[in-house]
Amino acid sequence: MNEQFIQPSPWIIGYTIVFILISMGIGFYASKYAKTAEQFFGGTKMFGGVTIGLASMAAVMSAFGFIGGPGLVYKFGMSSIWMTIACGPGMAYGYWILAKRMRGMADVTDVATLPDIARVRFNSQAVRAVLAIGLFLAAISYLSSQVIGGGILMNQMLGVSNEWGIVIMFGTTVAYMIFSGMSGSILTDAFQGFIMLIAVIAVLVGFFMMTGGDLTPIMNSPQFGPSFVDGFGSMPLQAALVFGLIFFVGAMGQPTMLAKMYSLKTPQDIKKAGVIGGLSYGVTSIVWILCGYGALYIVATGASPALAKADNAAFLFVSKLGGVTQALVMAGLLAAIVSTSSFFISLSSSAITRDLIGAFGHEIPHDKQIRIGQILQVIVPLIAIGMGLWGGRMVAILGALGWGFFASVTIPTFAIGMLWKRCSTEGILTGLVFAVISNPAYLILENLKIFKFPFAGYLFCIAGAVVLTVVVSLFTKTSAGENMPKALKPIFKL
Amino acid sequence: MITIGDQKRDVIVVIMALLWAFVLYAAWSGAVNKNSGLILCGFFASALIVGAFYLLGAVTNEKMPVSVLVYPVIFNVVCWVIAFVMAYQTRGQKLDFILGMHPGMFGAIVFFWIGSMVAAAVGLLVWFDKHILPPDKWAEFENEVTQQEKLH
Repeated sequence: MNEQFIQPSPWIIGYTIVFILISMGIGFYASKYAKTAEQFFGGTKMFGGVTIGLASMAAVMSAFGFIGGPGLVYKFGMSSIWMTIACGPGMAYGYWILAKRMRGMADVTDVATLPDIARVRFNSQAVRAVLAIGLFLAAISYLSSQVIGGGILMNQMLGVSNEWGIVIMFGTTVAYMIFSGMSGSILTDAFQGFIMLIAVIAVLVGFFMMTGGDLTPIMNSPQFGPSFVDGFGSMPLQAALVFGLIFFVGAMGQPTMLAKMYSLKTPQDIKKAGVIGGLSYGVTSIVWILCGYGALYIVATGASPALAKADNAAFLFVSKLGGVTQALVMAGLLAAIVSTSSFFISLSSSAITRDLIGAFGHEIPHDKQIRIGQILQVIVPLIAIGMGLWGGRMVAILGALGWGFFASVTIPTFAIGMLWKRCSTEGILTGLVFAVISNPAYLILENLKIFKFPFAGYLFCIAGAVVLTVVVSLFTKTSAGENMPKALKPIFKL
Repeated sequence: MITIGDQKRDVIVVIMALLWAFVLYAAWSGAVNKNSGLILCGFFASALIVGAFYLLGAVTNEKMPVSVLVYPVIFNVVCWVIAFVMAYQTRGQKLDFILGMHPGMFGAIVFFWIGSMVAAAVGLLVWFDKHILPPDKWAEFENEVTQQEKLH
């Protein structure tokens, strides 16, 4: 059991139950949209820009953003905020750069998953397989970190043990995901995104009522000082460099964004999805920033002793708010975790059912894909829960595989592959293999204290994957330039 | 109207790869040798990477209007540079706040966050139908695609 900051009140319990019931209702309703493999695994060409914009934001903003983020602000001031202030505009930027070609691919071929697009673009089952392995590994890691965050949150909200909290949260999510797959994930994510926006209003009001918008006590506190309120924070300077770049450019490499681009019903929806996704994520960043600074303010003014665990910063801040405000914010935190989890349950099950097995020459008939996908949607969360609860050091290693891992496999494959005709199969395979090996390798080396980069190691993996992809592509030609399938040429005129 | 054909794309992609390599070098060498000036150069290179992706993605059929080059491409890069310089020049100092924020935080929030948002999100609103994906371009694309067999 964790240190209890929030006392479960009728407001919190009631709002949580209503939230879960509505999510389940929407999830079951969405099952009528999930009749084919493309609809079940991809929600392909089915949703409008507002739904996709809100769903993108909700799936990208996870437990890390609403719980880990404020914890990092409490520990390092502004440093980690470069992640979240990069990500919001980065989402809109992603729609600028990639969405029309990704959406166009849904007209050129049958798309249900990202590896489907990669296979067609590079005419290669090997690219499909390596990408599917990368996505599966990162997705299951992401899920196990949501397990931990979800357990802590349910413990704070309902007063139940972490284990029971996980059962309630994942049990209800899996219950509707089985029937509706990615279609259910997108629709419930849009609703949960709306709940997160309500939480932002509550945080804003709470923060300004508590602090009057004055951060001076933090700057003048001997415990903290100017580096907690300045532009770069108390982490080394290169941290902000890596965070700003990777979370801006890397936003368009997140499957939570990329996979939504082909779910758009019409190309006109790209504009709405980009604007709403970017702005709404930008707004939810306020939770990351203000919960963290709220906690710093509370400790700097002596209203609470220093926190033993920085990850409790969000709960410390929320504990000082009124009953209704607390309920709104806590439901927002729950929405952040559930929406991200449902997406990754769907992604990891489709990576195996459709892509990995298919890449090895055993294409499962489309009508059977849904049945196998449903079974995997139960098995995958069980693996993630097992890893989250009992994974020990392995979870510490894999849990760090997230944003950077996704970006290092998808930026070369999609951002470069879809924007540059000359990008070849050999180039992309080299970049992908490098990314899939280097990400876990550096984390293992860091965890065993053998070697540590003086910055977030995923910069090495992403930069390395990009450079290798470009260099090898300059000297090879498979599926590049005039060797691309003729049917893809209209895409490159968009 | 600027033309960005296949050869120019090759050049942009190669420059972008070099910029990624430079950012890696700046972060690594700058950290090891405590050379904050080099890290600042890495920040500037990161702004150029953002600009390079814009040049690759914001063209339609190899064409980009000058207005799009100015806003959002150059606008976004300039916003980043201002934000980095403000945060760099004021780091670790006790200074008067601007609108309730330390000047470094003000630079990051106003120029990096809001500036990038104005570039990317508002830019989409302003230019999407006119330059990014005009309806006639999509119609042309659909027409071409329907005449060919779907890839499997």
